[in-house]
Amino acid sequence: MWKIITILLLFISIFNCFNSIAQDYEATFFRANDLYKQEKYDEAVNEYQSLVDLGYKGANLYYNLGNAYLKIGEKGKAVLYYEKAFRLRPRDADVRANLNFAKALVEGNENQYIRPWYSKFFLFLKGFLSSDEMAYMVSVLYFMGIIAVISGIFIRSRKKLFFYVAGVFCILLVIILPSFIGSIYETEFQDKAVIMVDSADVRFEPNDDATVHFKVREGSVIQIMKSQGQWNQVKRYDGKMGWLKGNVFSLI
Amino acid sequence: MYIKLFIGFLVLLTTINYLALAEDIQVIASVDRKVVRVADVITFTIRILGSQSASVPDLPDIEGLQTKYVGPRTQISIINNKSSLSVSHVYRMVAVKTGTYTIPSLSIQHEGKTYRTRAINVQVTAGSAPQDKATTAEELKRYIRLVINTESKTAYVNESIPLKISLYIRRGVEVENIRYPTFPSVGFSVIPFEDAVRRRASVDGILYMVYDFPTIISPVNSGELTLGPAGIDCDLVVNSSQSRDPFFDSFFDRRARYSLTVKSEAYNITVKPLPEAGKPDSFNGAVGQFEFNLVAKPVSLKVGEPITLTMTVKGVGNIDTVKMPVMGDLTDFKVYDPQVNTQKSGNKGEKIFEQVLIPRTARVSEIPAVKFSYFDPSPGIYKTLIKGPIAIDVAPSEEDQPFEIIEFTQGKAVKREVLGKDIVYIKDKPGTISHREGYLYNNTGFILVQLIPLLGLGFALFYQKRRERFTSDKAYARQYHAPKKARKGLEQAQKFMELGKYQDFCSRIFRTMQEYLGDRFNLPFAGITIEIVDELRQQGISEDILDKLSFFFQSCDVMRFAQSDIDMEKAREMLNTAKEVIEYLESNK
Repeated sequence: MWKIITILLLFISIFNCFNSIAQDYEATFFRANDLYKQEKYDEAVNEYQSLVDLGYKGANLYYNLGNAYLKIGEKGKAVLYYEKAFRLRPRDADVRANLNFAKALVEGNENQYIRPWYSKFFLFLKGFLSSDEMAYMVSVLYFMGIIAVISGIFIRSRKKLFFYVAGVFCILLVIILPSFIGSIYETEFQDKAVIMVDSADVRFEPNDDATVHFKVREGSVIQIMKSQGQWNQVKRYDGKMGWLKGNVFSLI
Repeated sequence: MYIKLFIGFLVLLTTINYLALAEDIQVIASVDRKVVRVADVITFTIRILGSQSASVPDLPDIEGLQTKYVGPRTQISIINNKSSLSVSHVYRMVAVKTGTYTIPSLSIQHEGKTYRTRAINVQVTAGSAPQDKATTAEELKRYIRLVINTESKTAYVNESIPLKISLYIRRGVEVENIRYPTFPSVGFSVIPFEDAVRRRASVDGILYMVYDFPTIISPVNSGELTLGPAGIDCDLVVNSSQSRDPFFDSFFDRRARYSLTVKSEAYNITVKPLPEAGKPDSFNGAVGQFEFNLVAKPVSLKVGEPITLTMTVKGVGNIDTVKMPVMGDLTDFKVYDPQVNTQKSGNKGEKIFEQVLIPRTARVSEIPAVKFSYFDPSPGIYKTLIKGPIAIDVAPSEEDQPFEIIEFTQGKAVKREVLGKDIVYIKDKPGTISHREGYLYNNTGFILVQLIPLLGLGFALFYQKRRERFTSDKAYARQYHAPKKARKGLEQAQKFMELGKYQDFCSRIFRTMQEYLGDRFNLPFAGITIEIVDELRQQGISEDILDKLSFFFQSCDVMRFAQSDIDMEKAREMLNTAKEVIEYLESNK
């Protein structure tokens, strides 16, 4: 009896703990929203940013923070948080619109990246589902497929039917997998970053005397290829590469 | 007759070759003159005596002397019945700069040996010098020369100065492959040359063909600046049989194309800074003579609708220095970055600034005056052109409704909604939040959960295999189930024993052993008696167990036929014996 009561109390305390964390989060989020509505954007940024600093991840949080940063003129941070929100909820039209708007404010044409046709064809789900959603989807299809196979083994009278069902799940899996793998590749193997300073020189070689290849502006999205001391080899969306000095960017 | 002559010729050739091979060669370097003036021609000869197959020496570039390899001259001479071979490599050198220059020692390879020439010093002077030939710089200039020229030798910083570099070629002289001029221009910005203009000119009564290369330069610093000397590369083509000029007859032996760099004199320009006195506030650096025009369209509109202000600056001068004209107070307008369109042609140009303004309120009645200031270098004063203010009629917008404009598409008037551009408002709800680091696919728990279906599938496949074996392999099925059945039988026998039902105990334990042995060795139950012990001996069962099995069957027979002899102790002994036999056989499959 005592055991049951102890377990019950443990469950209740864990639930309360989570509930109180959620309540704290919501309270700060709504306070930040109120500050934003009163056009106190600096204070709203502080409130949203405090949630991010505590380790919270959320598309709405990143989106609102991006809006607040844009209002105070910090294009780089705005693009950074819109990109983060986009990764969590790519099919959100508001996130997409504001990301495009912020990118359009960036000087130069660094962000004018057009995905090639094969990328659009094979990775068609990337623009609709986040990597977590794709992971759930792949997992569910994989579970369902194997359950269908196992059912076919045990229920011999319906073996053919179950194997057909397993085949359908398998086809769906094959359709989704390229997008999922592409999403993992982009997140894990392509260190994308946003420039945080007004302008920075990208040089041909990692030294101060090297010729400037091109400039990157605040809010430009670049890919970090490798690091060498203070220098980072970066690649622009149009494929141009060079060396960028110092910590002038934030990883998405 | 011909055969004899041919053989004699071969013998002569062989002898010559033999002599050439047999003797060491001699290398002599010489110049026709050691003291020359600028533009004089020196003939440098390397004579190799004793061979015609020695390598052509590679002459390095010598500062102050433009060198061209003319070619080899071979010679065979027979003196006092002794023949000798020689080759002379001839170079033409044009003195282009005063000073003393050294033609370095050159190495010549022949049959594995290296021969060296001596170094020769040549002095190039600007003044008079002994003249062996009429090839002086002054004379060269009479035939082809390069001149830098500007309209004025004084200018202001950023003023556009038309510059002309002219190549004068005397009539009758053939010149090909004329390249664009090059010249040092420190302190100037220079635009690329326009196409060359060809004309005729008479200088001191001599007719020249002139190629003018026009360009525009702008000084970026003040002070005494130097342009040039300019150089132009071209090929002189001379045919001595056609030439009527002794100069070219002496210069070139026969028709030849000679690469030449014609140099001009340096050209000095005095550049003055823009004066500080009288500089207007609206001055942004434009230098030249310009006109300014301002047009606003439309002038009758609603709040939120755009007005395009077109500011045109055109004229003569440095159009690159023209910046956006200065506009008055525009706080009642939303102002966008202007579009700039530049057109240039030589020293003239036009710059159009298109500025979009959107009135924020209906109170606006005019676009403030726009000022454009520039510095006119001719009189050396600043000038300011003012246009406007322009009266506009701004009506209030219709209750914040998105306004419409009319467009003409394919000849039809269509109304198109113009949408504003800004960010979408914030989200009211917190939405889904997570406190997890990274993404789901690299979460250990998530990955481990993915193993569950695999384990299930493995179990299902194992189950299917076994089920198939039970169906197809009866002996395996019997052997598999034998211990379980035996255990049940023994438990039942033990219950009978504990209840004192020894008759039932006896028949149960006997049947259990029969069934077990039958299943274990795939034999029919009914035929299993004490005789099975002999069969099992052949299968390598230990004697101890076989003895126990014999004891078991004998005891069973005794008990079944003499029930009065059964007691608890005997029954227990039989039960233990049966258990020991079964355990042994199970552990020794």
